[in-house]
Amino acid sequence: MSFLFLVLSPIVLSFPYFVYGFFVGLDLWWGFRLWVGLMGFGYYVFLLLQVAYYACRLPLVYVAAGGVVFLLFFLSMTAPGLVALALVGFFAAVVLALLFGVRSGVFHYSWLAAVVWIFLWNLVGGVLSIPARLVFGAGEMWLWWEQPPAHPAYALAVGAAGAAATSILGRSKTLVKRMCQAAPPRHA
Amino acid sequence: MNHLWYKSRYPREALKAKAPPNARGGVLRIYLNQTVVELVEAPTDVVATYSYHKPDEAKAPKTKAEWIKPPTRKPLDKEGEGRQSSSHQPLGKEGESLHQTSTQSTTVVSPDGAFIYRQYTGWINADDEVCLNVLMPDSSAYIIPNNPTVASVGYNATYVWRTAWYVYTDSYGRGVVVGRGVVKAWAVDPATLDKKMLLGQWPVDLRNGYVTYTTSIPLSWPNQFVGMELCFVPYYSASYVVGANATLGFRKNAIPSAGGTYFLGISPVDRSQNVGGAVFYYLLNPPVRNLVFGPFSLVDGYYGQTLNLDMTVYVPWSTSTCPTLTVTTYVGELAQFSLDSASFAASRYVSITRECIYEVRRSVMLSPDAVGLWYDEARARDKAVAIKVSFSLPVSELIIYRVDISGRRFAENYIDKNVFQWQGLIFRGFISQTTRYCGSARLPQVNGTVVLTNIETYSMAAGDVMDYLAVVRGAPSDYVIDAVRFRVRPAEAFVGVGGVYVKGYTYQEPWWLTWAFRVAQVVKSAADFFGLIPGPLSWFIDRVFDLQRATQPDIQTSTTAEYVEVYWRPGIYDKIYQVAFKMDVSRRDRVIEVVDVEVAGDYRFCMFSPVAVPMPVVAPPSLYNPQLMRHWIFGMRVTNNVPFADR
Repeated sequence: MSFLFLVLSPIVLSFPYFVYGFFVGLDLWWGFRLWVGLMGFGYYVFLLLQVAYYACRLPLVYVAAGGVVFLLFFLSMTAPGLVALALVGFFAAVVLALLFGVRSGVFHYSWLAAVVWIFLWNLVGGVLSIPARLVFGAGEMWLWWEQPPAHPAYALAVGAAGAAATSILGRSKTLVKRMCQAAPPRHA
Repeated sequence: MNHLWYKSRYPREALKAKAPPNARGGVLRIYLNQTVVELVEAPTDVVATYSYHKPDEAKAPKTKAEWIKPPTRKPLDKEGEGRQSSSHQPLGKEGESLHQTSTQSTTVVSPDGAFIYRQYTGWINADDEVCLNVLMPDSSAYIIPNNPTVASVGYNATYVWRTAWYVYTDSYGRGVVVGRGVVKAWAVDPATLDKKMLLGQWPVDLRNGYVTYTTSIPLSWPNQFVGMELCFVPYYSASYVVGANATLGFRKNAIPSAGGTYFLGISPVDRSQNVGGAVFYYLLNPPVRNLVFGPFSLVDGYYGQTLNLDMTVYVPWSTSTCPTLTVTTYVGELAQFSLDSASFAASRYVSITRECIYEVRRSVMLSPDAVGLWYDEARARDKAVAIKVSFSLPVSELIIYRVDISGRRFAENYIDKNVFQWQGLIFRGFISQTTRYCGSARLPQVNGTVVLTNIETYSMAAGDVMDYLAVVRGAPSDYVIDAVRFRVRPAEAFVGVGGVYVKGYTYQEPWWLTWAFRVAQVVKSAADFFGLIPGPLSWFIDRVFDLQRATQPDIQTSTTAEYVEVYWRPGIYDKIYQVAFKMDVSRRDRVIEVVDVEVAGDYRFCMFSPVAVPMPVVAPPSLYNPQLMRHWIFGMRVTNNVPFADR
């Protein structure tokens, strides 16, 4: 079950990028805003799935909290100046995911461990995603009305690198308490 | 000229007229069909003159010619090439002789151009010279501040076809020679029209109450920028009414960039042969409601105009009861001035294809107000006139037989006068493009439209050599520019984009937002181990930065072996209706190819096909004088009243 979370996470991250044209085709402006919200939500769920891999469960309340992230990203593109909400949405996504990890004991109930973990996760994931960055990383102009801000395959590769980094860091008992092994989840 | 022999009649008192005391030439009086014309032997420097009297009820012998003063010169003065005295010709040969003069010249010259001079009324002291102002439109907006008496003929003028003088004063009797008119040819500065050197002058005695003509004054200075003046010098102090008219015939050498010869002065214009894509067959899918034709532009501006529209329109309709079709035409650069509206009933209904067919023919005479408006446009950056045709129903098929503007164009003389209003930019090309739905398949088949975008290219001739590409939103005006993609060929001719200038609303990011993203950048750098290894977390921060960057304009340049491609878009909240790109260039021939211009309103539109603008290299010898160069590349300059917001 937990491995399924890990496998699904890159798909969840990249899915919005694959369906960008559909949203923009619905309506140029409102479709775009909906997509931005979906992008933020997808990334939040992606992070959540990394922690869920350790916790061996995915509480619905945390998934539902993604609605806040969705709203923040959606509203960020509704008026000039509100793009700051996208920043807020990003930090909210990270904090909510780590909160899940801390409260569920994945990070030894320690915020410090959680912050160290995500720092290392980003570094390891960065190393693993170097090939994808070399292929897709050229910073081209974003024509927002016809394409997503990143290539869907790039999003898929980055998601896979993140999942691999999660798996690697999970071997460190200092950072992550592998709950699935120590205490099987109640629903399992 | 022959009509003069028949229309003019000889006033009784004119028979008592005496030749002026200092008149040296002979006078041949001709009676023909109750018309009397006196042919006056031309003074030394005048090619040929004749005069006639204003119509009168006096009767004259039917056919008779007599010398009232014997000629003093031989019939053909071989010393004066091109000159011709009419005084020794028999009656029957006279008109023929003058005609030959004209014919000889028209083998190489079309006597189309004309300058009209403003009548002068007032006291003039003896021997004081009064030069007449060139006639301008009757508007204070067109007052020529400097050198108002100089009519610029330009380069390669070949001869003055005719001048007509009329002088009258109450102080002396009719027929008395009261002064002389002088036709002066000057070498003038093409930029300022300041007179540099007197090339030649031709005096002609003027008789009170008479109309006096000169013909065939040669202008043999093809490499000089020639300006013409008509001046009156009275022999006696008196109050005079002086009127003059000059018709200048000339030809300019073909200019490759201009695509042929052109002429100055006021000349008839019919653009029906030159409307390019407007005379066309359109299969409109999806059907559209608005069509924009033009813009039509001439180098010299418009004087009087007639708009003609002739087309067949097909409208899909399910029943034979066809609705009325209304066609509204507009003028102005952005089709902002409504001009004419007319309704058309369907001429027939085709049941097989279920189409109503309309024959739309409309001819519109333009009012003097419109002329003034258009002339004002002519002086500005863009003389183009756009015609918008709006249909009450979506139109699926359109055959246009004729869309043209007929009228007269002004001499560029008037444009040249206002030298202080002009900058160094030189107009190189003008293209109008009708944009269409980018993805028509997904869009509804009604409420369609096409949008006009105007594409202009300029060069900076003085100082640094630079190219400008300007994209201007056309009509209708509720669309904004969302992207421009163009190429410069060859790649070596492109050095870089030196600046992007826009007009319209631009979103300005507040300072606190800028700082918020700067802090986020610091966090990202720290997470990346000082920016060296960006991971999945940093990747998503970049997506957030993408959202911020979407609110700012962006530009991208890519290079191939053949060309350099530039892609630009404004910010997501910007509403740009004009964008200009400044490009440094190397000194070689180049082509700017506009691949796509995207505009957006309710829907997005793309260019139907790419357009290319040749940009011949600016000739270094011409660099010192933009105005001189303007004449050679068939361009025009822009006024300094073009406020761009530098981005």
